[in-house]
Amino acid sequence: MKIMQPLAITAKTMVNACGKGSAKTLDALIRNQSGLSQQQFAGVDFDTWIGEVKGVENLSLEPELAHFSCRNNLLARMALDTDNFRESVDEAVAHYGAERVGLFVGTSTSGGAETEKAYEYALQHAGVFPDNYQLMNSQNLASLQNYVEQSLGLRGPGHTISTACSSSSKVFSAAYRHIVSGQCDAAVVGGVDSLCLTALYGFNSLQLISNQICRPYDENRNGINIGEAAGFILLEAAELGHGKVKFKGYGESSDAYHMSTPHPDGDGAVKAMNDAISRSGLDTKAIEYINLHGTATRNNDAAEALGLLRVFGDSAYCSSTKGFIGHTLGAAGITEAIISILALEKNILPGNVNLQKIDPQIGIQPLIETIDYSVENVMSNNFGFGGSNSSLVFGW
Amino acid sequence: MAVYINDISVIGPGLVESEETHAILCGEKQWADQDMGQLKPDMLPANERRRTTAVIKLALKCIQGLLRDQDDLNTVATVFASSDGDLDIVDKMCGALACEKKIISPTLFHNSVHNAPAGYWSIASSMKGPSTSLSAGDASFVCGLLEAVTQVEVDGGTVFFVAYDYPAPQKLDQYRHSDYPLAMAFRLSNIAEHKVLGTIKLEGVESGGKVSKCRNKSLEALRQALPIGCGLPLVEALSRRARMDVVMPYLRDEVYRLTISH
Repeated sequence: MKIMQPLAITAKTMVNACGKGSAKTLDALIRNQSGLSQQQFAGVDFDTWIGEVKGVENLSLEPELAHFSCRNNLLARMALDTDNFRESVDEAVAHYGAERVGLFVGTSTSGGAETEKAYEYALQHAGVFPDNYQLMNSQNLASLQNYVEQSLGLRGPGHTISTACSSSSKVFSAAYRHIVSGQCDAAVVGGVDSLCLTALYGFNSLQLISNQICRPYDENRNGINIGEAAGFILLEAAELGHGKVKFKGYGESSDAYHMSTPHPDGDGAVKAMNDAISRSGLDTKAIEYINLHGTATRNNDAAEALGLLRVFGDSAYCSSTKGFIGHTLGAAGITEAIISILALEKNILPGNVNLQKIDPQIGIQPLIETIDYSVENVMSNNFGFGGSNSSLVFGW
Repeated sequence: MAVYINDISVIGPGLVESEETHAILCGEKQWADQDMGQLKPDMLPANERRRTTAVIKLALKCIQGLLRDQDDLNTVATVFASSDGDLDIVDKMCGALACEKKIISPTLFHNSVHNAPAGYWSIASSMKGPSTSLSAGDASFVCGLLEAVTQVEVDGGTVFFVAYDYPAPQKLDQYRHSDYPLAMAFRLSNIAEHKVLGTIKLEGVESGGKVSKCRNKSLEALRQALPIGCGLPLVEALSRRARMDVVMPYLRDEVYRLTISH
């Protein structure tokens, strides 16, 4: 497997249940303070915890882009307007030209909440949909890409990846390939998913939603909490990113096993992790922390732990950060990539918040609390429905 | 680096039998709308197949035509591109969620992910390589093809690229109308295999400019029926082993030019 030419992370931004901006997430990690709440999401009639971003409903899109209005794109705008991200992209556009900056985003449900509302409205209005409902600007997966492209003034190549919970992890490899093959010089990668009934009731139908705060890797874990989030990163050639964390490796695989259950031996996860390590050119031992997918379902955590043991033994530090922000589905990849980058930059290793008693059956020892510790290289794992696996390596 | 297209597969109304499809794509026979009937992607075990939808069956039936005995199931990658995914599931799910008792079946939910066809394909074929499912709205065909070509260029090996779309159910048709379903699949590789159909070269983006039309004029109705129909002039050129440029709609108001050579 060819060793990858690293790309520099030259800007990043995130919003999630821990707050707006990387500093808020970092603060929550350091304080071991979960952003999840027991508050009900409108229309949901079962008990669970959610990772809601506060204040989204009070936002609006740029007047000329108002036709893209939906919770998902509002979350996207909230992130684009945070952490000086827009200014960094403006500089990249000035440097490379708008045609040479690609855009690769991930989402699982896009603006599907608008369609849910339109059907509810139609049920009460003799089957007539609301006047302002626009399927292509909300429900369609490319709505996010089209909105962000126009909001940032980009004119390069790009697409919207939708592979369930690995979506915005796989944007990194897509951007890398487009840059290396000469389709663009730099790329914005990102992911956005927003709370909707489809995700909440869908996962509930599979009995994968917890009625408690989610506890990845706990003996008593019983499912996920759905969260919403947006995150973006600017990727540029490594020589331009002196002193910046690098994206060093990717591995992608398919389980070929089941639509909604991971391979019990973690086979697909192992292949994704090994390929990411191979492409990074690093020794396995050089990767000292793994941000786990760790959803807190019985099956995911058991299979991922087995996969981790097969690749790393029991020596590497690891944790799932879903106890802080919930499972943000199509935004999980980018969110956890940024958390992994923050770990490198701020010399911390995030704890596995809400974990009370490590499941003795699983054989790995996630960090329960965040520690001060400096590492050179980390991995971030994301695995999705349909057996879609993606692992990324970041490092100095 | 040269990227070869070693095989293609097309499924659509009037394009179900491979010999007849080849004759139509070579311009030797007229295309006529004919119901596809119940597609049966027989590589998927019957118990799994029963759970799939018409959209999933269409994508699977098309891609399964590309698999060869010698394929390394651990490394062949797949790219699935569809603008709209499965709007029939969206209709069923949002219909159920609008009701007092919001009851969704687990199967309906796991089928609702955009990568459901890719997941079933991996189960059907035992392929464990990388797999991407994407959309780029009306530019889904070209953006999916770009993803597949860059995978061959950068990661090497063989990539199956399948583009598919399906008409919306009645309630959503007013927002996204298409006359016909269609799926097209391409076997791309960095090596020329026996019976290679052509070499593909990405020429790049052009602002404005006319998109390619079908050489077989009877196929024009299908090309214009849905956004991914823009790929038909490409499969025609490959079927005839023609050297030519193909211009297709891209992002924004731009078009994208490819050259097919040998």
